Amino acid sequence: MREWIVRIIYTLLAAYLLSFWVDPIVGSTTFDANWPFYFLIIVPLLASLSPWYTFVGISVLNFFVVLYSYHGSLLDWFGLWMEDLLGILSGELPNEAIFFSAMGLIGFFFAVLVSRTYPSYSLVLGIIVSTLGIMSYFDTWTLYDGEGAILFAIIGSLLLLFVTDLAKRPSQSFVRFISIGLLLSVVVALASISPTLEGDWSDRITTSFRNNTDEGNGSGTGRVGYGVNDEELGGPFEQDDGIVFIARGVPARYWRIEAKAIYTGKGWIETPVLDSEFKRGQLVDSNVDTTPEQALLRFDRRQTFVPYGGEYPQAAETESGTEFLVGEIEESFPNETIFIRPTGKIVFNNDSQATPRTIQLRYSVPAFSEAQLALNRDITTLTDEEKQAYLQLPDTLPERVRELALEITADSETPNEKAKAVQAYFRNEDFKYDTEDVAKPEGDTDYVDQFLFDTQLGYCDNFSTSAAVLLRANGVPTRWVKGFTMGDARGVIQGETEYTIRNRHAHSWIEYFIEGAGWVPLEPTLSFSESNLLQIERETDTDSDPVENDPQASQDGNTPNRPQQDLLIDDVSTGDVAQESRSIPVWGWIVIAFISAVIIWNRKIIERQIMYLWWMNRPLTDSSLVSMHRYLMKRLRANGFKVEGRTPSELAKEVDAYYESNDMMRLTHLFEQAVYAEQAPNSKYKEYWKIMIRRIMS
Amino acid sequence: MSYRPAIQSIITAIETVIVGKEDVIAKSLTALLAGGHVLLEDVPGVGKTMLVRTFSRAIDLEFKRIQFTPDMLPSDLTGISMYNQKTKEFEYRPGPLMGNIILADEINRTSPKTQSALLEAMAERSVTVDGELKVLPSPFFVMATQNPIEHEGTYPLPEAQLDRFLLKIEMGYPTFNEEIALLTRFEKTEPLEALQSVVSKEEVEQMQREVREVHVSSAVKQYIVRLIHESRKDPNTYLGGSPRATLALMKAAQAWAYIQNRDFVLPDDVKALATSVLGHRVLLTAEARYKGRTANQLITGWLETLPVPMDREVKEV
Repeated sequence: MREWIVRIIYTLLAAYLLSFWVDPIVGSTTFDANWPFYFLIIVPLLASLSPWYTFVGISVLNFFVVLYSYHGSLLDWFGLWMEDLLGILSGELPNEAIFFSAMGLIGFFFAVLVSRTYPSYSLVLGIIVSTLGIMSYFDTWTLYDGEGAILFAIIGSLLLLFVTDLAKRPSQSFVRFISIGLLLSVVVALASISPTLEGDWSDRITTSFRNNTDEGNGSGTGRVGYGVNDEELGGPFEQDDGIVFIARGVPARYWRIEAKAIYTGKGWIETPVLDSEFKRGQLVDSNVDTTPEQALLRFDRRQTFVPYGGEYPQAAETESGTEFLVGEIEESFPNETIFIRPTGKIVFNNDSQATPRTIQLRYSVPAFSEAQLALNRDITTLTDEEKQAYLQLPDTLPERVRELALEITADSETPNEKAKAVQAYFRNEDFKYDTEDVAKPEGDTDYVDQFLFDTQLGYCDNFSTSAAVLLRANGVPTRWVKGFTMGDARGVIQGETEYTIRNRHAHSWIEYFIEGAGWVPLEPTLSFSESNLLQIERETDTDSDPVENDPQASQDGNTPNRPQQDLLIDDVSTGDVAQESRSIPVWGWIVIAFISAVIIWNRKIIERQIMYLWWMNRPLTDSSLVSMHRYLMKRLRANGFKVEGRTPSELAKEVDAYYESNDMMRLTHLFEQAVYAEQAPNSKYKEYWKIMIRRIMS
Repeated sequence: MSYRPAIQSIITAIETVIVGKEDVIAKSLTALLAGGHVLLEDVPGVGKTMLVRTFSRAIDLEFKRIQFTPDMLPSDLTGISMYNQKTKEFEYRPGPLMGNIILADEINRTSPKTQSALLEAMAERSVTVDGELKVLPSPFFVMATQNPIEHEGTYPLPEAQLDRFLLKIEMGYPTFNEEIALLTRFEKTEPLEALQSVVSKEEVEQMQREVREVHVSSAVKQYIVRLIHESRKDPNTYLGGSPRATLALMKAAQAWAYIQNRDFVLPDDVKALATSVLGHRVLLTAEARYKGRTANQLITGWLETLPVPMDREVKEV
């Protein structure tokens, strides 16, 4: 009776641990539900406690019941399965149907393993190591979040080990129960008092958030990422590879989050609500061509912003299935409320203002014509309030900045020409891109003034803020935009390139206003290309690559002070996609590392087997006998025997004394007869040789 | 160590008189069977003479003893022709060399002239008396002794003559237990008187012939030559082993293998005899002697580092 209880608990705990596999593995597939897989893994394990026919019966029945409940039809599914199989045969990757049956089989085989080996330390350790390994792997490299689950997995592992121990060595002693109880209490106690339980179980790779402008953190080094507070810009920052989100379904594109209008001399502050003829989310004039685009964004963790690639982020589809329009301000929806702030920032109006983990987003990407960019009309579309805000400059701005602004644009007529002149100024003068030795303005020093005249060294915030100020001084309405660059291409998935946007891709640029065209983005930062930010249509050649259309992009390559090694903040590199898909994926490295480790651990056995095969299958000749003996001596030397200067029989005496046998002496006699008496080798030599090798290399 | 039965019986017979010293007995037998001679070096009274006498008793051989003194003349060894008045002819009176086993006691006490007469006889196995060649009996086996500490009034043997001894053996003192056994054995009886010969002269000659049949593989030959080369290369020696030493080492190893009932030589045999064969042939530089090195130390050092050849094909290192 007691034995059965132990066995049932053992099986339950094994099932519990295996169930941790479902979330990360299924989470990285296209399945929208996890529950079928829990059934596929847990039910066969429980059924394995019964006689084998019941076990097989229940497992098969379970499979079909789960399938029917999930898919709704068995026949239809069979068709899908066949289709999938044919696809695999013609070289495609497996789809849902095959994955589903594979999981079913995995569940079944685990059940067989667990019940047949019961109780087994090796299997239990294997399950524990692979469960924790899978969880940490998926947590680190994918969007799966194992924060809370890992603690339960560890507790489950400890209990499973304990139950295995109970099953292996039944004992009535209470000491064990007390010690496992103690161990569990310590784990739980440590976990609950440790400050990380609430917030941050994940590692450095995925977590981090910039707040380089936090109060009291003025002189410290910030960390790159999207921050909310921009009132005090400047100072160095550290690079951070943490993933923010993954975008699918769009070409390489800058991700806009919000724009700010008021420059204080030190940074940017929130824009007040402005009376405007532009709708929220609208960026360009209605006569500018736009192309609708749809992007799937998957966030690593819930964020407080929604990045978008163009105008009018129209619809967002969350993982809970709610669809809502963003275009109207502060519109309520059954489950969630979201709105666009005056800055253009999309915010979810729930308790924590947190986004869902997955968002399907639609927006329009504007493409300006050259004629539209060349317009130079009086500004009528912007209200007076807007003009005031977007032309605002602080009173403390040094006069030399204004003078420089006019000097730069001396030969420019239109807003576009002026913007290009400012952009070219940064690229042609002695400006340098850097993230480390960047100064922070102290006292009355103006952020822009310091950058333009003193340091000429900085990153995107320096360039974009300065560009905004220089354009405003020229009377061009300008605003400062924050967001992310297009990120790293992470590979082609189902025909679409996915981009990983990390904290280090946080970026800022500007938008300036052209009457008749709207807000036109400009990339002032050195070494960054504008081609992923601004689309220009040319009447003559509308189909050509936007990179080629962009004069700035081609000019870029020739820029003399372009950094040799761009400091992580990404640059346009069209080779990225190909490069990444060609290299071995992470799991490939893990497999290689694992295989190498296994080979290294077992190298003696492997070497021994190779030597057996090699020498045993060769005829014993004088020379092979000598080679075999030499190999034996090499192994003996490796085992610490002194070989040099020893005659074979002296060595044999020592070896036999060590191993308490006389096999080495026998072997040596045969060897001596062959080598020193020059007789034909005795085939028994091989036999003794094998014995000795096994003894030495075990 | 396991010996050939005939050898074992000789050793057993000798051991009824000599306590311990199995190694010395085996090495002496080796020299006898290899047709060489032995130089016993040790302090007086450790049983050198007793050993030789026992040897001659156990193997039915004629024993002669020569006590060397500074005033000895070569003719005292070889014998002289005397005029017999009855027959009116010169008659040859054989000297002490005309025996099978000669104990040449304290060989370094006599003049070089007499020493060289002995050594010549050892090499040539014959003596010339009054222009007449006298062949020495066979087997002819000289065991010479010399005392290492009595340097006063001695004539050290020149290197060239030392080279004529196949082996140099040190007797050494008996251990505590051996010495007790020695006392017991000699307490009431004289074991030597009771000793019967176990091997005949002819059998010894037969064995000497068989020793030359013992196989020496090319691997062992390489080992011997490498060892000798090592003795010449070592910066601590000013005179290494001569080709005669190479030959001596091989012959001794053959006999050593033979007495151990083997018909082929092992590197172990070479190793076992290396110090006895080379010890008196290798001469150290003054610097090495000053540092307190001995020939035996050097030889042991070479043996420790020299790899033992296992290949048939000859490779020069």
